[in-house]
Amino acid sequence: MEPSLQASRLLSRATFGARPGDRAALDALGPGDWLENQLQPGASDDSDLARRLRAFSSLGRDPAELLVGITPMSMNAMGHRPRPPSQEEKREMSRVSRRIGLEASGARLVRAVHGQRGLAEVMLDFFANHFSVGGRKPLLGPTLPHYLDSVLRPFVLGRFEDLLVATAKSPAMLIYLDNWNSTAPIADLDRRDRRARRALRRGAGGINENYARELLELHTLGVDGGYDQDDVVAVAAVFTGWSLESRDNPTYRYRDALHVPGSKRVLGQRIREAGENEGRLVLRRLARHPATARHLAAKLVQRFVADAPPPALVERAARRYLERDGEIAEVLRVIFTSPEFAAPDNRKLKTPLRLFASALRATGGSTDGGPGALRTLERMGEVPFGARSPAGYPEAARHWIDPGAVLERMNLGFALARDRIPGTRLGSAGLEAATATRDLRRSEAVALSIASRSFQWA
Amino acid sequence: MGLDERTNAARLANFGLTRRSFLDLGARGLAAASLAPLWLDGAVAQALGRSERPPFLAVIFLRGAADGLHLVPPTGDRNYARARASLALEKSLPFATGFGLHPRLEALQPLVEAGHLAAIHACGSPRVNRSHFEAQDLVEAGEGDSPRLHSGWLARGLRRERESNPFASVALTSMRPLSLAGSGSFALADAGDFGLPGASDEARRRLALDYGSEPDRDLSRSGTLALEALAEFESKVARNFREHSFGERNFGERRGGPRHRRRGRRGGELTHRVSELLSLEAAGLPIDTAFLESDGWDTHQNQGTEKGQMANHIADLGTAIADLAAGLEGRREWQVFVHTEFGRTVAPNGSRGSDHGHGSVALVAGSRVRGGVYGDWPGLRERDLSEGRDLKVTSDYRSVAWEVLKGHLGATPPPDTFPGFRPQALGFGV
Repeated sequence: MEPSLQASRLLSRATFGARPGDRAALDALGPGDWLENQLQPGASDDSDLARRLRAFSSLGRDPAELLVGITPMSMNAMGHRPRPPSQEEKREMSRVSRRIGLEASGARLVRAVHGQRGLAEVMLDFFANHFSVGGRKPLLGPTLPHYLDSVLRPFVLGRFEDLLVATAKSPAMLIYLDNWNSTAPIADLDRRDRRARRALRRGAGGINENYARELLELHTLGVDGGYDQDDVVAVAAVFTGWSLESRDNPTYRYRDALHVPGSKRVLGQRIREAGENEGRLVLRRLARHPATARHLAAKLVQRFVADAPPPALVERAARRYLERDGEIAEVLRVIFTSPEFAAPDNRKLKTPLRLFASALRATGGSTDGGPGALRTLERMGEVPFGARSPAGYPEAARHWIDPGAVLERMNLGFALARDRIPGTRLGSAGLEAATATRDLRRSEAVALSIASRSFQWA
Repeated sequence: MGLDERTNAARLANFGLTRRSFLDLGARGLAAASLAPLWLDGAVAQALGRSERPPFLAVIFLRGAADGLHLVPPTGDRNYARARASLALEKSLPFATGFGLHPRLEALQPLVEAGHLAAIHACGSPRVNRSHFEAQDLVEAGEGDSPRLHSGWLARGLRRERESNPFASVALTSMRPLSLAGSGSFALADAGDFGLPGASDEARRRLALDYGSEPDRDLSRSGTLALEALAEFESKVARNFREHSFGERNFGERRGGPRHRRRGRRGGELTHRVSELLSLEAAGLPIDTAFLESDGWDTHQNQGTEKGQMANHIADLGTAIADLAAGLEGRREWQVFVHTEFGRTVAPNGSRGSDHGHGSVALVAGSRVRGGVYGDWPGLRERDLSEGRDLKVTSDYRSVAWEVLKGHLGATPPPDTFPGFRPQALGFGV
């Protein structure tokens, strides 16, 4: 292992990029202690970030709270809708929903650029992409601030199973993958039950396999994880009834009346009838499954080490995952201290978000995470909560390199250097080398250093 | 206006561009001209000989769920007037047995008479999804289930074409659409903005040096291709467009539509994009496929019939297709494929509009297209409708796209264009 490469890669990959002074701080601590601090970031002060995030008024508020006042669909005391919303009201709702969603996206960007707890912010980005929600799903916006701060953030360096349970119950995921509307087949529903009747009225009816399929393929076992369509159907049956209070009150609620009764068979094992606990049991089994360990380890190694994950490192990381009951910090320690991490050939391209954040961090710049910054990222193809597939954004460089994309990367350098992104400003630190260039304007020299080939790599 | 007059109009529009001197290239353009671009070597240079170019393909996405029963009314269906009620058209243009064309598609009549307009009716994605965004994503990704591939069907279908010509496919949109994701194509909505604003010749030279060196081959190659493409673009096109630009915008900001709607211009946004596209093509950019889009088809309120908001969009679509035909006819084989994410309810809603439905129509026009209406007509009686309210889908849009691509490529498209899908032959392509 090359120690100086390990140090520089810790800053460029385990955080969104080195800031002025970061390297000196890492060298003073040594990579080992620096890494331990990052793996237990709770105590470090991040009041600057907190101050910046206050600009987003929806942060820290529940989906239900955010929906109050914007939804005319609220049920009255009798549980009936007073009337269907007009087109005007629908438009207003999607406008407000979109605005709230953009705040969550902006908050992720501000965290990436200004977060003091570098690795925690990177892992938040990793898991927000692993458990991807968002895209252009209508009315998901009001669930995103909660998803970011209460569902993902508390667990990103904790146990994977906790993340799995938190996402399974989150209004964002329940709506995004339709599980809140997944019910026992209509014929089997007890129509005497008021909730079942109401579910039927709002168009629910029958098992929706969407969440079950993504849970197995994307969140846990992986596409080659050894499950089949029968498992998907059985897991979907297990999660029937994991629902919401209502569309207007998106708070998790288990509804036994919608649940498929009887025992189920998942991955060759019998799940006895136990209502909501069937789901808990399945999540636990999935979290502890060797295929999940391999899938997650491979994704982490791909994120931090190389697009083609070195199999031996994946194996070691997966083994540690199983030994330590899915402790994510333990797996990360294996990866960051591995010789593979510091091997010169294991290069990683910055995705657009990482490129944007690292340019600002390198110079001590700032962003408000507002529309100007988000439009820039949208144009480059990576807005937080903007992935148009439940698989999230791709990681490998080949998805991010083509002539059109590279032209946008070059343009980012010039846009930043010329101060053309409203709400976002480069700082002046760390650019001495660039400014020393003769026969180029300073802003051009800065632009060139961001647009340069070498700056695209982490 | 007849086809000849329209050809003239398009020629004049092009002339507006071409009479400005392309020879006034400036230092950057001359430097570019002295070195043959990377993508002009070998086979591609040959392919650029006009006769060997593939037929020009324009793919138009109507966003917002266009009403297929308005575009191509099933006037021969005895239930049409009753089922559509206040949305039934009283007049329509002659098209095919049992079907008319919306009266505002009069610009397409020459194509109908020449037998070069095909409509594939009751067309769409077999999966019911009434969310515009999700349905658009599925259609553009070209996957039956939730998208996985991070790429679009058009990008996959055209993989071979663009291998070394960065302008093989372009999007006339402000951002590259999902249909072309993974293609490396440029988005050229505002041709005047395509470039590296703020970069001096010296800065560009340094970037070229930087990206011209090893060792990261893919990144270096893409960067080099991008810079060469930019030089090529500027030498051929940019100066002329810059004259029309309204000053530089902030990065990532869209230039709004209305600015483009200069007074006296025929047609709407889509027609305007087509005229930009024709200018780019005529200027010599080696474009073989262009993606265009049109917004505003989500007519929940006051949809109108022969007149009204939807009729205006329809008229825009008609002139856009007609202009494209006129601009390319006689110079190059061409094809246009028009599709949407889903159709609209058969019956009107309470606000004189229609809601999200299922089946719609796809249009294919082209110099080698066999005109007429294709696909099985599912009927409009209540029991014929999907979920009792929508036109059924009897033709998968992927079959249409497959046949369009086949005509464009002159060969069977790559099998992963639509993973796991077996296209049905429809027969409009020759």
